[in-house]
Amino acid sequence: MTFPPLRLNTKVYLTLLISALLVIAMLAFSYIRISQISGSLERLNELNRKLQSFVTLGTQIEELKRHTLNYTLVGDAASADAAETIYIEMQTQLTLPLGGEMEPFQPIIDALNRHLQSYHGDFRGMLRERPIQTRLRDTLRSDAASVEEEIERLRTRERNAKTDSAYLRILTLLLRTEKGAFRYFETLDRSHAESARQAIAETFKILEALQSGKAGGHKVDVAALKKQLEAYRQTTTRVLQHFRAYLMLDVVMAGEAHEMLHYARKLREAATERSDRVTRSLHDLTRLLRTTMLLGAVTLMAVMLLSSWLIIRIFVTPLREMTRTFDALTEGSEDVQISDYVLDDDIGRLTRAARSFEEKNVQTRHLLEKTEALAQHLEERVDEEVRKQREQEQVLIQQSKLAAMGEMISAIAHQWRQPLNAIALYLQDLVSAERGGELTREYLKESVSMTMEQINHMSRTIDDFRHFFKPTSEDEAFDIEDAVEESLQLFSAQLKNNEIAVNLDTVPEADTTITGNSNHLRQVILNLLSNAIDAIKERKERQPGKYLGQISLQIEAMPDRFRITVEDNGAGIEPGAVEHVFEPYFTTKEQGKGSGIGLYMSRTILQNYFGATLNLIPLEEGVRAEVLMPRSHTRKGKRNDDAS
Amino acid sequence: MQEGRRAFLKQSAAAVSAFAFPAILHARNKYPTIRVLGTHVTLQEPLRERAQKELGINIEFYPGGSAEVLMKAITNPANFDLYEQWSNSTRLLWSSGAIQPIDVQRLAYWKEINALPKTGHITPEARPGAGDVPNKILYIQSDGSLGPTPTDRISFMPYVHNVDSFGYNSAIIPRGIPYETESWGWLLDEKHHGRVALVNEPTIGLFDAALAVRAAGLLTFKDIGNLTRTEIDALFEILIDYKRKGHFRGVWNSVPHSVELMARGEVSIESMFSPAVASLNGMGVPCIYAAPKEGYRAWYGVMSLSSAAEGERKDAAYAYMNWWLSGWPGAFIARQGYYISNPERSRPLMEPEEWDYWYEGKPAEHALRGTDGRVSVQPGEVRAGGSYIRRFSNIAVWNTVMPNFEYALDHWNRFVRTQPSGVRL
Repeated sequence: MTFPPLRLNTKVYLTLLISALLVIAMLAFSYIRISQISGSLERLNELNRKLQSFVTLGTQIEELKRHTLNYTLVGDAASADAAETIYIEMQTQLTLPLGGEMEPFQPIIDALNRHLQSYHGDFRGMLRERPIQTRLRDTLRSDAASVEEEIERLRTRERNAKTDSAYLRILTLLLRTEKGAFRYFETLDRSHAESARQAIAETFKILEALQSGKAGGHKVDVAALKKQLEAYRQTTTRVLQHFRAYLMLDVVMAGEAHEMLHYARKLREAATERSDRVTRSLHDLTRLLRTTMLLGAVTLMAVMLLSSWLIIRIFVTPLREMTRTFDALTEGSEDVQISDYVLDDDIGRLTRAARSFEEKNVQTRHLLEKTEALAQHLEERVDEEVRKQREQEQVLIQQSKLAAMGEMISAIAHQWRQPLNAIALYLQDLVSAERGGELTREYLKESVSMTMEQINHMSRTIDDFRHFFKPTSEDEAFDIEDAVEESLQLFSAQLKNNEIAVNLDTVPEADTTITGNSNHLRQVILNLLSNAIDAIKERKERQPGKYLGQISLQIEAMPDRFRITVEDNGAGIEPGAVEHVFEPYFTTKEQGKGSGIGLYMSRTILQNYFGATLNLIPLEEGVRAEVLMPRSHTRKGKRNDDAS
Repeated sequence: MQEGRRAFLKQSAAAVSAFAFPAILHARNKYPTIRVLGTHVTLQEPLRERAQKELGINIEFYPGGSAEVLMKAITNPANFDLYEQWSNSTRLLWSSGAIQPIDVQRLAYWKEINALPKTGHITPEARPGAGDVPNKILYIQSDGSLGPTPTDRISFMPYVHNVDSFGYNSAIIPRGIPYETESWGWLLDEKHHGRVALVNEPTIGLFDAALAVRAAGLLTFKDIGNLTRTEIDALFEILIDYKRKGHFRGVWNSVPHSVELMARGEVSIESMFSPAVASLNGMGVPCIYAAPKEGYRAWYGVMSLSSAAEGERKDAAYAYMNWWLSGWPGAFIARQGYYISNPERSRPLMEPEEWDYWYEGKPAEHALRGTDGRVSVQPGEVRAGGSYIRRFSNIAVWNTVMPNFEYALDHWNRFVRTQPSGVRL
C-alpha cells in the first residue's frame, strides 16, 4: 500500500475521517432504510385504516339496502332514518381525500360514489312516493266509504228486495275490489289487481242495471253513485299503477345497490391486494434492512479492523519500532536494526533521524574515545602546567623573596649607613685623637663605648630583620597592627632619609588579631610600602624641593573584615597601567628598580593565605592600595612555605 | 336525523300536492309554459331552446329515469303537461287516467306519420314483432280501451323510435355478420363470462334476457311478448344461475353507465342503446351495435297529453307536439341514430349523405357529425343493421308491459339483487 508523503497526523486524521465517513455512510444508509420502512409502516397503517373502512363498505351497503327495502315495503320511518345515516356515513367516507397508496383507487371510489348518489336520489324519490302511496291507499278506502254511504243513502230512500240485493252485491264487489288491491300490494299477484278491476267493472254493470230498471223494480238514479264509483275506479287504478312504478323504482335502486356492492368488492380486493403488496414490500424492506444491518455491521467491523490495521501498520508498528530503535540508540547502540521505512513522512523523518542518531552514536563513541584520550592528555598537561605553575610560582616566590631580601638588604644598608659612618668617624677621631694626643683612656673608653653602641644598634637591626622574616610556617594569631608597625619600622631609615612623613592610623580599641602566617602579611605590607617609597622618590625626582612625600597607613576593623590601606602621594600610576599592575613582571619603575612581581605576589599571597583582596586605586596624587581581609578565613591549602 | 327526514317528507308531501317537481327557479315570462316530463333521450336542451324560440312558449323539462317519471305521471297528472317516454308506459298512464286522448285532427302532420305506429308494420311484409306493438295501444277505442282499430283519438303521438340490441367490443369479441351470426345468444356465451351487462329495466332488459335464453337454446316461449308465470320462473332460474356463477357483471341504469362499463373494460358485451354506441366509438372503443339474427327489440317513443292539461297549456302542448314532427327535430335526432315517425318531413333538412347513412343504411360518403358537432360516423361506415326499413322489418319483440309484469318484476328484482356465489361483502 502506497501513500502520498503526508504528515503523520494528517494520515491519522485521514484514516479516522475515512472510517468516520464509512460509518456515517452506513448509518445514513440504515437511517434511510429505516425511514423507508417507517414510511411504509405509516402508509400501511393508513392503508389498513382506509382498507378497514372499505371492507365495511359492503356491509354498510347491505345495511342500507335492508333499511331501504324495509322502508319501501313497510314504510318504517326508523329504517328511513337509518338508511339516511348510513348514506351520510358512506358519503363522508367516499369523499375523504385519499392520497398516496390509495390514489389508484380513486376511479373505483368515484364510481361507487356515483352509484351511491344515484341510489340516494332514488331513495329520496322513494321517500317522496311512499307517503303518496299511503295517501292513495287512504283515498282508496275513503272513496270506498263514500260509495258505501251513497248506497246506504239510496237504500234508505227506496227500499225493496231487488234493489237491496243489488246494493248488497255492489258492497260485496267493493269489498272484493279493496281486498284485491291490498292483496296485490302484498303478493304482487296481478290476478288480485285484475280481480279488483273486474269487481269494479261488474259494479258498473249492476249500476247500469239499476239505472235502467233491469235490476228489478223501478229505475234508480245512480248518477251520483256512478260518479263516486268512477272516482273509486280511478283511485284503484292509480294506486295499483303507482305501486308498480314504485316497485320499478325499487328495481332501479336494486341495480344501483348491485353496482355499489360490485365497486365496494373491487375496492376491497384492490385495497387488499395493495395492502398485501405493501406488506410484501415491507417484508422485503425489513429483510433488506436486516441484510443491510448485517452487512453494515460486518462492513463496520471490517472498516474498524482495516482502520486498526492501518493505524497499527502505519503508525503503531513504526512508532514501536522507532521507540525500540531510539531506546537502543539512547543506550548508545550502533548496530540497532532500523526499519527500511522509505516514505517521506514523519516516521520516515524519524527513521532518518534514527539513522542519523546511529551515526552520531558512532561519532560520539569516536569523540568520547578521543575525548578520553584528550582528557588523559589534558590531565597530564594540567598536571604538567600545574607543576610548571608551581615551579613558576616557586620561582616567583623565590624571586619575591629575593626581592624582599634585596629590600631588606637595602633597608639594612640604609640602617647601617649611619652607624657605619659614626663608627668610621669614631675610628677616625681616635686616630686624630692619638695624633692629637688627645687619646686618653677615657677618651678611648668613651669612643669604644660610643662605637659599641653603634655596633649594638647595628646588631639589633640585624635582629630586627631576622625577626621580620622569622622562620615559621605555622599559622598563628597575630595582630595586624603589629605586623604593619614592624614593617614600617623596617623602612624607618629609608623613610627618614627620603623625608617621607608617615601617618599610621590604627584602631587601638579594636581587636585586630587575625590568624595566619604573619610573615606573609609583612611581605605584602613591605611591598606596598616599598612601592609607595619608590613612587614618592620618583615624584621627588621630577619635582625636587617643593614636594613632601607622605605615606598614610590605615587599619580599619569592620564587623566581618579588616581593611588595610596604604596611600601615598607619589608619582601615581598611569591610567592604562592599572589593569596590568597585577600581572607578573609588569612594572612602571625604571629599569633595574623593580622586579614586576611585587604586586602579583602580594595579591597571590593575600588570596591564597588570607582569602583577602588587593586593589590599587589611582588617586589624584598617588595611589591607594586597599587590602580587604576577612576576619576568619580557611586557607586553600597549606603549601610548602618557602618563606622560611 | 329523524326530524330532518320528517321535515323532508313534509316538504316533499307539500311539493307533491302543489307540483311534485323541484321548484323552477328561473324567471317566467308572459308566454304560456308547458312542463314536459320524460327521459334524457328526448329531453335535450338544444331541442328545448329551439322549440321555445320557434314556438314562442316557455318549455320546462323534467328529465328522469323511466320508472321515476312514470310514477310521477301516474301520481298526479297536474304535475305535467306532456309526457315523453316509451310505448310500454302507455297502458299504465291510460288506465290510471293520467293522460287524455289526443285529437289527431289537431296533429298537423298526423297523415305524414308512416305505417309503423299505425299498423305495427313498417312494410306489409315486415314481421310485426311480439309484445306491445304500438298500434295495439295507439287508438282509443269507443269503449275507452286502447286498441288497434283506428280512431281520431289516440293515446300518444308517435314520434321518436328505434330498435335496440346489444353492443359488443370488437377489440375483444370478433366482429360478427349482421343478421347472420350476430345473436342474442352471445349474451350468455361462456367466453364472455363476467363481462356481460343488461339494462336494468324489467320491460326492456327482461326481453333482452329472454331473447338471449331463447337464442342460446335454453328455453322456448309460446309468446315472448307475453310470458307465462312458468316461463318467467324458468327464465329467471337460468338467469339467476348465470348471475350466481358470475356470468353477469351487472345491470346498468343509464346510458352513461353502460358507456362507462364498456369504456373501462368491465364488460365486453351488454344491452345497449344507440347513443351509447356513438359515444363509445367517439371514445375510440370499437363498439359494434349488433343486428341479431333473431331480430331486434323495438321501442316506440310516445308523447302523451296530461289529463290535467287544458286551455292555453293544452294548446301549447299541441303546438309542441306539432313542432316535433315539423322536420328539424327529426333531422336532429336522426344524427343520434333515432328515427322520427314522419321521416320525409325531416329529409330535406338532412344532407343526402346523412339520409343515406341513417335511413338508407348506405355507407357514409363522408364523415358525419353528431348533434354535438363531433364526427360520429367515419367515411365508408355502414349503419349496423342496415336501413330503416330493414331494421324495422326484423323486430323480435317490442318493449312491453306484460300481463305478468309484476310477477316478472319480482323475479327481475331478485335477479338484480343476486350476488355471485362465494363473493364476500
